Amino acid sequence: MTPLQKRAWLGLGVGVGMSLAILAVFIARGVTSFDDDLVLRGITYVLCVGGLLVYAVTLRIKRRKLGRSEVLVDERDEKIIKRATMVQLWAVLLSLFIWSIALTEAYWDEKSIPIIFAYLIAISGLIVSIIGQAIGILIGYRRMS
Amino acid sequence: MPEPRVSNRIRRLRFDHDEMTQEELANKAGCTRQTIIAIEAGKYVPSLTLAFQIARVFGMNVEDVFQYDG
Repeated sequence: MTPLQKRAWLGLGVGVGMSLAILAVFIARGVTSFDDDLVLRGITYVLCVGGLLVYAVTLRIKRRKLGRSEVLVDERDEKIIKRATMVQLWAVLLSLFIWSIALTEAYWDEKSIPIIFAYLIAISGLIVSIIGQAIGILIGYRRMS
Repeated sequence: MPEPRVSNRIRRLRFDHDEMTQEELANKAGCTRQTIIAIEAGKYVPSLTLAFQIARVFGMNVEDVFQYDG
């Protein structure tokens, strides 16, 4: 398994872990309580920033190891990550359009959406981005191996 | 448009060169062992630069290692 494949599996783990954590928090405390529930807001911020930091730290570890004499990333890996970036981009765009249509339809009569959705859109964008890139990388290796 | 088929004799050449391992070839050519595996299996067509580097490891010309099948 190449370092990039390991990173993809890690990304998939972080993405799925974040999704489950967010789901668990909102199921336990309820989505509508966000406006009054300071703890829920705190947990949401921690999950949002924490997930991003965990992912950034794992990327940094991989970069440090690149000083070794053995070649860890080559042209095939670069080609795969370039294609995976397109998968990532389309996944994020798709998720944003789904959010837009779903929220428009759900809150058409109210003419406004609850503030919680700003955070949910941001968090889901991050999760979709991480998972999208990981899946793109894994598909790339499957096709080129 | 269908991808051009490029075959290669890397596996044969490795055995002809003191049974060179994929790892050794990868280190000498400057790529990963997984890429050598993919090239040998015909799943990945290397760039011109990498093709030249692989051919140089065997002391041959690119067209002696890689063949364009149209």
